[in-house]
Amino acid sequence: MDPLRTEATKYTPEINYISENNTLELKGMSYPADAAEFYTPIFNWLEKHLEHMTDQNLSVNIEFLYLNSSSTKIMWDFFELLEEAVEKGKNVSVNWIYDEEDDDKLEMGEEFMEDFESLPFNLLMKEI
Amino acid sequence: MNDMTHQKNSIGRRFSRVIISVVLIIFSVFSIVIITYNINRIDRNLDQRLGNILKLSEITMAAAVWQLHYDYLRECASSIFSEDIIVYVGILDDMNNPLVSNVRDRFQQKPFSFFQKSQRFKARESDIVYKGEKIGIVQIAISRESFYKELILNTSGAIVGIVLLIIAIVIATLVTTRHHIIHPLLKLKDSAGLIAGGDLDAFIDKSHDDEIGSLANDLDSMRQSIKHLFIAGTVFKRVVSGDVHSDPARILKMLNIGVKRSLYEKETESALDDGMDAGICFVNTQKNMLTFAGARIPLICIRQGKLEMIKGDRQSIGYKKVNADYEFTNHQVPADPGTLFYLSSDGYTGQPGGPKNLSIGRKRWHSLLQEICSEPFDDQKERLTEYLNEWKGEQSLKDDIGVVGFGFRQK
Repeated sequence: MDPLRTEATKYTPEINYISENNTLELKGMSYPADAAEFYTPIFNWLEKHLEHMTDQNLSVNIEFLYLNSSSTKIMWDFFELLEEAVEKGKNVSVNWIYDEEDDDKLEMGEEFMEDFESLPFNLLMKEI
Repeated sequence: MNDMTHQKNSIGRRFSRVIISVVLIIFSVFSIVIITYNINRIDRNLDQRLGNILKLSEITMAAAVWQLHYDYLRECASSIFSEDIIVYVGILDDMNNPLVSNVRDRFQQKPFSFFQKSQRFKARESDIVYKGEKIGIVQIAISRESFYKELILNTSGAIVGIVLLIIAIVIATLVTTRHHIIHPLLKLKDSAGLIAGGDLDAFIDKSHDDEIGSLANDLDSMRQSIKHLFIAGTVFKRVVSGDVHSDPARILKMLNIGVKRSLYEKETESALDDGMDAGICFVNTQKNMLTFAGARIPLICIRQGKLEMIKGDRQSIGYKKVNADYEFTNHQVPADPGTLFYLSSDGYTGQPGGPKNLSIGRKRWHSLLQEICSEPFDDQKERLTEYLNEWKGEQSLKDDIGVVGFGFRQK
């Protein structure tokens, strides 16, 4: 699979695919000027990746510190894409990682977990 | 409206002025260095040539001067004279009596001292020595004129070149600034003017991919935000002016329908997807009852220091994904005097900061409200602002923030 790596900036998260354990990581702040423009290549990559994936498990580790509302909307589409893949029989699981003091991200994770019933969604408190 | 190009301080003109000054300064320094270097070089060169000729003359003329062989001396003098730059050749005996002297016609028999004094010439004399004894003097003067002519020619060539260069730079800057900066800026200015005048559908050219393009993008986002705000305001006014004003859930539903209709019915842009969160309270002051409905906004009540959160529906208003038929929920809350109510957009709780760069979050928000709720509302506002600024620290404010607090006095 093609590598995927985007360094974190002030406005955008670090995005990294680790092929050894088939893990996709999103980490940091997300408030790009044009969220759709920023996330489009990641969506394209993910669609292709899911298509080619056979029976291995894709772990998606998400650890956001801040998401603006357009990024939150995009995460919705992101989980929708993952849920569709699950419904097509792919093995995908999401780990929503949050700081123990960050009830805002915990709540956000809880809402996503509720909304995407078929998507294996784990809320993980960050280990210190 | 003023045309920006007619303004005294147009960007293009400022730009050209700066470039011309820089080019002129560089050119002047450069020319001074080159000219000084050349003058020195040619001067040294002339000196050397003069020295060589003098040396040669001393040697070849010595015997002839001793023997007073005039024909030979004249021949020597005229052969030296055959070089154009030499304007004076004189041979004197040891008593300074002229034996032979050749002067260019244009100097009409000027004496050697004339050439010595003038800056236009280089004049030197040298003793003629025969068998260890001075027997005469040879005097030669060289004109610097031809060399000056050459220098002037070269310099004027360079000046013409520089003038052409400056003209080219000015034209190039004017054309590029006009094409890439001034013209797009004027178009943006016109668009901004239209928006300011109330045309919230004004066209904004976003085709540039440079800084102006990103300015245009931001201006367009601003235009759209204002438009959507305006739509929401208009729809809200229309909705609450009807008979639904006492039914917050119904107001939210009507708002949702109205906003969706205004946003998507006429809009051709398929990427458009906007909306809002809302919380609405209706208070019956006779019965001390409050009816609340929220679209992703909770109502917080504090009674005798105890905080209660009434969650709104988990449904925003206006976004494409939101169903137009969605029914929001009304909550009945006793609104006795002394009870405090708070509504807030998610901007406050969402603001990142603090030691770990985390959002303020619900827990901190609630304990902050409990801490400040006994103070007058003006002070509370100040405390909230203080806390927010301290929390965000170096971070920028990430979202717009709206907080409403209210309560009821004893009748």
